[in-house]
Amino acid sequence: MPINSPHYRWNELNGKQRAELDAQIVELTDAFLDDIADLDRGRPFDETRLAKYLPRQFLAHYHPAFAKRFLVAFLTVTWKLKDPSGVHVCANQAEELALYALIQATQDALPLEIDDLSAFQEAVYEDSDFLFLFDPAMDGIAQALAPVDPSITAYDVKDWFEPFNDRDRPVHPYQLLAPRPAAGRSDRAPHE
Amino acid sequence: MAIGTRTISTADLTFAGRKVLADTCSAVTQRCLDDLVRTEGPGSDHAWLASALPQVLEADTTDRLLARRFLASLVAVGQKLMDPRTMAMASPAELLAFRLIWCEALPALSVTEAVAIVSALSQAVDTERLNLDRLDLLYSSDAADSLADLPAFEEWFEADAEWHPVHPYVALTEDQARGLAAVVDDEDTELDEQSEEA
Repeated sequence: MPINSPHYRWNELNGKQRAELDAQIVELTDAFLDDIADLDRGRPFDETRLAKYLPRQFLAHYHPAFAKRFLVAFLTVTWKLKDPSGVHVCANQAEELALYALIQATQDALPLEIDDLSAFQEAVYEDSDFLFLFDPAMDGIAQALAPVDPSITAYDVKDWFEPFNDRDRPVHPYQLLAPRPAAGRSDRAPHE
Repeated sequence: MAIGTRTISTADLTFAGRKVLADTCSAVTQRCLDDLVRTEGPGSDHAWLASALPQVLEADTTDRLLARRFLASLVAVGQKLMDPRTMAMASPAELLAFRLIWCEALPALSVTEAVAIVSALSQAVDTERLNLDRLDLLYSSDAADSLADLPAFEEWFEADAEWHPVHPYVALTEDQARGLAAVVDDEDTELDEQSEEA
């Protein structure tokens, strides 16, 4: 379950896949920074590259402040991926989604014969609950179950940056404390 | 070399102290991000970065890649700061990022707490090529004298040691920062070919 890629076996992440993963770290960092600048100039969120990698059903909750926090989650999780000093895990939903964006972009860029990163994906995540976020059919089910099972994946965008139920997972301060457009911990944009 | 705040005892840094550091880290990251986002086009100056770096370094703060690499270093430092494990500063640029957070947090810490953490951190936080005391001198009136045998600012992003790597964005854009075309590391693909042949 550690996410640091140096720990992976060859059958989980071969050399060409590893090289493309590296290339996509740079590609997506630059793309997300360009997206944030474009959002600042008024570009709609659904026209950004970021939107391609995020669950579409929550589009109304995405805005420039969210994009900045998500970029920091991406930079954090890519740092963890390459840090050899200890075992790292995703600290929250945002980091899981940021890592998934990297995996998706890497798969898209690889030739068909080596684009299968399922072994790596299986090794890197503790569970695959976050994939439900991409399934509109599941919309509302988790909210109903949350009072019964608090460990369930965070389905509200406002919870994506909070640490998972294990509070010992350190989260980058910007993910938790960055200014948000609305009062309280809501991630809704002011006009919503 | 350690900066994981929880490796420092609560006698050195209270919960309130940790909160101040986290708040400050968030605020500095926000400024760095805003600076990147609001700087108009290639060739425009990153005003916040220019004000944060020692003037004597004569860094090219119009360089967008340099500003982006500094953001990646800053984020790495913020994460290390919150990690309970012992972490090391990977490069002088990370030490500089730490200093920005630290100097801003200092006035918000109580005198006792500040003294304790300065004592603990000043021994713990340094890199092979630079320490906090020497970095302070770069902001002083004698800054020019302190530059001797320090690398050019572009080299501040390079890792001091292989076992403490810099943020991957910083490492992977090193050739680009030097004005070189991206060089693919053939080691992994060669291993792929060998394993296919075997």
